[in-house]
Amino acid sequence: MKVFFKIVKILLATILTLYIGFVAYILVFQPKENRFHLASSAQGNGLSQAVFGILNWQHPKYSEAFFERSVPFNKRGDYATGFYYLNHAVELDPLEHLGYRGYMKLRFLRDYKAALADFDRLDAMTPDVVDAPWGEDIDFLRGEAHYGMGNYAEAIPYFKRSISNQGADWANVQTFVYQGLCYYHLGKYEEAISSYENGLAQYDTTCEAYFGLAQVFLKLGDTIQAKYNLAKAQETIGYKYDDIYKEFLNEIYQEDLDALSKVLN
Amino acid sequence: MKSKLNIWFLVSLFIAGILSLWLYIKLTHNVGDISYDSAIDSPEFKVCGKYRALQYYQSGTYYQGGKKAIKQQLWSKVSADGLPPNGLLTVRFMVNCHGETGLFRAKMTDPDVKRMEVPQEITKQFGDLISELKGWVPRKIQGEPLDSYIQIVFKVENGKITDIF
Repeated sequence: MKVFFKIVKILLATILTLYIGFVAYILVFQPKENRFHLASSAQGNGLSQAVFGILNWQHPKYSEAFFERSVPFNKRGDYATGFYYLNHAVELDPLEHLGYRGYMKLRFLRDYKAALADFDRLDAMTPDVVDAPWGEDIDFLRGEAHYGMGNYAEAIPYFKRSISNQGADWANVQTFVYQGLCYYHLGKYEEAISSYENGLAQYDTTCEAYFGLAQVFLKLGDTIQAKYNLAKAQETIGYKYDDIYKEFLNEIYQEDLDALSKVLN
Repeated sequence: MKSKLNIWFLVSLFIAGILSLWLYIKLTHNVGDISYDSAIDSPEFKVCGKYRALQYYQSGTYYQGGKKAIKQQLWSKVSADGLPPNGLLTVRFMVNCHGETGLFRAKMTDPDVKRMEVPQEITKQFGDLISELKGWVPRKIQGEPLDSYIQIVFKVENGKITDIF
């Protein structure tokens, strides 16, 4: 009987020791890239954050781990914690993370000046490259930041440069829409019409461009054109520009179409 | 020999137990989770979905008319009184499977995105205002409506609320 208990103890102790060793290997000793992918795939989970914590402690120069650790905090509204980690990532590798931080300041914080500062700093670091913070053209984002501040005249050259750099067929179609909105706010209605039409030449389902045209034609007193473009906006509202994280500055809603329809009818 | 085996067994059992407990706590906790707190939360608000509450960007729960409608409905009622003159106030809360709101929590950051303390009465004040929004449509999964975490950000500049998003 004693021998039996001894064997059971040895077996259990071996299994427990292997379990401890396995968990320690997964969390602490396996290559940092594997742990980064493990933690990234469980974004926001407490264990994911713990793994990033271990990585930050073991590899204090590994900027990607600080960047990735910041993501769920910023998505979930804890900007102080999120930006604490993101700022650290930028300090370690500004070229890699400045663009994302600028994008977050623009879209998540709506701190337009701070976003511009990051975009300009990134641009100065890469004079021969057209940067694409988080996959979007840097000049489009700079134009959007100026638009957010209500600096419509300052925004237009950035949107023009974005179209020029990307090509009219490849630029984000919302570049034309924002450009049209800027001209509209400046009272330059012919230029606004031209901008919206250029957007529609790229994608004829751009409901924001039709809606913008309807607003311009209403200003110009051409209610027939205004109604036509409002009807086109209604047809294409299913293609509206939206995002699961944040509202865009130029986002339109069915309620906007309904409100304009009331004015026109 | 016997005592060494016992020590090995007990130490490994102890470490494995602590490790498992730590893993359980970590795995069941998520960034941004809000638990019911009887000191501040309404006892009438119930988390009711069949599944765990999802984030706003996972669930698809929305407000009729979108963020613009939220902004329009809150705009005339919100005030920056009691708030620092500049920064972002983020109110995170839950929309339950019936489209009701509760579990309001507020965080504030200064212009350098550093944490600022939010007085409890501010959380209550903004929570009460958000409770007046009645157009929430909870997303369903296989016919079951979900509980969701939602957040609304109030931008404060020069002592005034200048944006809601």
